[in-house]
Amino acid sequence: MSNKFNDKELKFVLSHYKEERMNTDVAWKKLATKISHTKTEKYKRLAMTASITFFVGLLFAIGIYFIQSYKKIKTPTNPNVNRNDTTIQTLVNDSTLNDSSIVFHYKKEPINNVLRDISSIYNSNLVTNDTTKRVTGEFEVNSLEEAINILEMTLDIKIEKR
Amino acid sequence: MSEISKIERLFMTNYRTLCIYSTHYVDDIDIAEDIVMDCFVKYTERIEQGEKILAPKNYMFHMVRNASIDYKKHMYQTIQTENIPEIIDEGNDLYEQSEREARLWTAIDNLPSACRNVLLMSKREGMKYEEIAVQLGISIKTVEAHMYKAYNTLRGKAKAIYVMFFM
Repeated sequence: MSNKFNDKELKFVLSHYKEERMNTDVAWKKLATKISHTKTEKYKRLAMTASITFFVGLLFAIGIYFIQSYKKIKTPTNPNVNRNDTTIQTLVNDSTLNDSSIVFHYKKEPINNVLRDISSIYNSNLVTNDTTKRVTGEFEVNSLEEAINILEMTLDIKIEKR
Repeated sequence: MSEISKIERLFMTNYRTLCIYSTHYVDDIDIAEDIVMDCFVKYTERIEQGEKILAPKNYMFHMVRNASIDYKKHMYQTIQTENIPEIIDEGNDLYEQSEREARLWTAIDNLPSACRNVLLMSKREGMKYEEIAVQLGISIKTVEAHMYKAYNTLRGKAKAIYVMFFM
């Protein structure tokens, strides 16, 4: 590495020379801090974007859930819902019962009581040959026939309309 | 070697030269330092984004040159193309010149402060030896000795010089 320089170069350096400038170690530390700061800022922005996206998505999902629930769920007036572990919900799309889905939820309920509920909802009179059966579980039906089919298949009984 | 280590090595070996190089365009060492620093930040961002740079040193010189010219344009609105030194990849001397000037700067940094003062007063401010002697309260012979030492140091002859002057 040659140290030879000309007067023009010396003049250039002297004309711009300032003490304590271009300290490479100090400058590197400054750069490292800037790089680190830039990275931190980038991660902060990413985290903020992710958080905002998450919360917007969550609010949207909650909103959809409540809108759906408000439209569909309505407490039933006809069936008897006062028995323990029994709930009957009518999911109503419009004001007519025939267009509704009905959810029955029972726990060890005698079949006769279940048939009485269904009969009262669908204005029918259902009887069965085997009154020893009990119903446990939840089922959703859109019609009387569907309710009869589900009970006959799951309990292996015969149900008649009278 | 990690990417940051490579960048550090590039920085440590070229920072001063790049600053001097930029100074040829922007005429101010402080502004040149800011430009070089910003260029290294952008360079680091590009590396972190996965960009492959085959000749980092040349890349940095190009980046610093472009940033310096942009600064100049911004400050003065117009720039005369004939005043712009040729770019490094055309085999120009400015690159090597900047390296020599960077070494000169380092050598001046390493001069004893009295020596450096005399050198700057004589060569930068154009003061005569008599004026320097009066201002610093030293003899003219001492001024001469400082200048002799400064030149010898800058030319790489870093040994103690004893000068006898005969009137």
